[in-house]
Amino acid sequence: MLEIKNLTKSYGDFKAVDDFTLSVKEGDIYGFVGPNGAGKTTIMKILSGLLPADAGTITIDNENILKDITRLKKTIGYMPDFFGVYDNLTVIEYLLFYSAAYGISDDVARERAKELLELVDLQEKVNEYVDSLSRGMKQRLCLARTLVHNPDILILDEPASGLDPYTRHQLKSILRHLSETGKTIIISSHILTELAELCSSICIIEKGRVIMNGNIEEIMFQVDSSNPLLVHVLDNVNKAVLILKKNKYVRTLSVEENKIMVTFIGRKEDEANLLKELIESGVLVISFKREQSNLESLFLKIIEKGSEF
Amino acid sequence: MKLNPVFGKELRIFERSIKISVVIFIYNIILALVAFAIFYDMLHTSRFTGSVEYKSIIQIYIIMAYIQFGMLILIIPGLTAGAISGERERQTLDILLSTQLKPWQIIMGKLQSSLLVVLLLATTSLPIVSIVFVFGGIKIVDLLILILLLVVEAVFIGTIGLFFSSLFKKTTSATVLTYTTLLFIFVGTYLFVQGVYSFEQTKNTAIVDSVTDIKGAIYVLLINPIITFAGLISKQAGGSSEIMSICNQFGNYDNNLVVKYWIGISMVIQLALSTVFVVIAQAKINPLRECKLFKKGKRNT
Repeated sequence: MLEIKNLTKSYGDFKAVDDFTLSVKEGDIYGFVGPNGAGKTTIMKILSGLLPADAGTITIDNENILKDITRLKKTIGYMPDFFGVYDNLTVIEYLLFYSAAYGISDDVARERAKELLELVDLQEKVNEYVDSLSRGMKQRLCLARTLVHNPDILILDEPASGLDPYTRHQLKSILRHLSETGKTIIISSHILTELAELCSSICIIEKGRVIMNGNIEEIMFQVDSSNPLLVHVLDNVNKAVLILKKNKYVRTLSVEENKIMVTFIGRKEDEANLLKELIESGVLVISFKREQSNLESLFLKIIEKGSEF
Repeated sequence: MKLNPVFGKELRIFERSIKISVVIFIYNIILALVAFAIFYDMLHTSRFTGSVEYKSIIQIYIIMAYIQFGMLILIIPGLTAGAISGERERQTLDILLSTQLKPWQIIMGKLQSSLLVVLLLATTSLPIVSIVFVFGGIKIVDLLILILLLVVEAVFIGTIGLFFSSLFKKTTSATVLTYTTLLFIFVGTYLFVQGVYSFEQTKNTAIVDSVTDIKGAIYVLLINPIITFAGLISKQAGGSSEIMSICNQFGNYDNNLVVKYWIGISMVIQLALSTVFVVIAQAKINPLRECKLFKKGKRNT
């Protein structure tokens, strides 16, 4: 279990991370969502031991790893939002170099590199120079590099940026597989639909603060409940409008042919009662649902509304 | 002993680099041509005089040593000034720092790889340099001391390059600053002492029979590798002490202990300064303990 508590980081007067608190369960794929400058990379860099925090703690299994950088680096594998490769090295040499940087002996490193290249489907490129690899292959090689020391937690900053759909699909499969093997993955991305597909939980960050976090479905429900209710009736529009106007949870409504858009502030049960009332009064209801959100629209709402959520 | 991973990686990249091979080739060609020219001149002169001037053989050694030193001055800053900034430009420094490598290990790995170039230049030139042993005058020990001094100077110059490389994001800025600093050390220190001497002399013009004394200012020259090198070579070639001649331009230093043991003292001082440069460079790249002296606000959001 990774627990981040009251993490704070400022650059001069600018607060990049502001009292950030988050719990990530083992094996979770946790998505960091937020506009540019929200503080995602800063948090990821602090988690990777690449930036000092001004305040706060990061505990893994109840141990504050900010006080034990060696343990932090053993536990965490960091993949930044750029490749950072040495073109004059071959694929295997690249992995062996980073293994040596983690103090792994050559024999163990070779065995591990072989496994990792199979995992990222680069086993046939083992003796090829890194500069001869495509962008997608380089990205997979970087992921393999992140795994050389077998870390428990992976921090991936925009791993899918600039990749074609097939390579993104490959990357997702690898990440799902890693999650199944117990690795905790924290991932930031701007490709929100993919993040929604991949992550079990998300954390929406803005101005260095957690705006919303938790299970992705719960968050979607929470957001959807603030969306308008769409009532599509076959006939008796006027009767339906009358019933809706009488309901205490209805704030506003607009009618377009036989579609009624209702601002409804009630709970699920109140929604169900309203539907029951419409049907019992003889209104033929074709559909009755909340307008659906996706991560994309949620993201846009955050940017538009700031921290009103 | 475990090989420094950064050094191991640099070694592998060096192996494949045509640049190093070309430098070594050109370097040895220059040495061979110089040796050939001196030999030719020596034999040509002996046809008229009927005797071989052994002083000319020592000349080969002196010229070769100066060429080696010149190459070192040219090559080492170029290699080290881009060592850390190059990693930044390639965006590999953060990844390196996220591993278990300590910042000082990264710096030392880079330094080792630049020293390797010096050792490569020194060892590949041995067949040409050893010509002097055929005729005597220079001993193996002399050559080993020369290599030791070259290594010390390479460390000193190399750490200056690393220092600026850790300070600047761009290799170009680091390279310019490194060469400028070296120019100050090579020429500026001498001009500084000259300036102090002239100033003191001007002050003393009114006093009859006065001796101009520049006090400790002369010791600034201890950080000048050219003076240290010239001192060693003049000593090995059996001529008058170059250091004493230089120092005596600015006063009377005949019985000065520092001047007497100048080479050893300057090597120690330069190594001490190198240590300071390494300490600052490693602090500068350490993401968790930035050197406050050079701390800047960065945003990585």
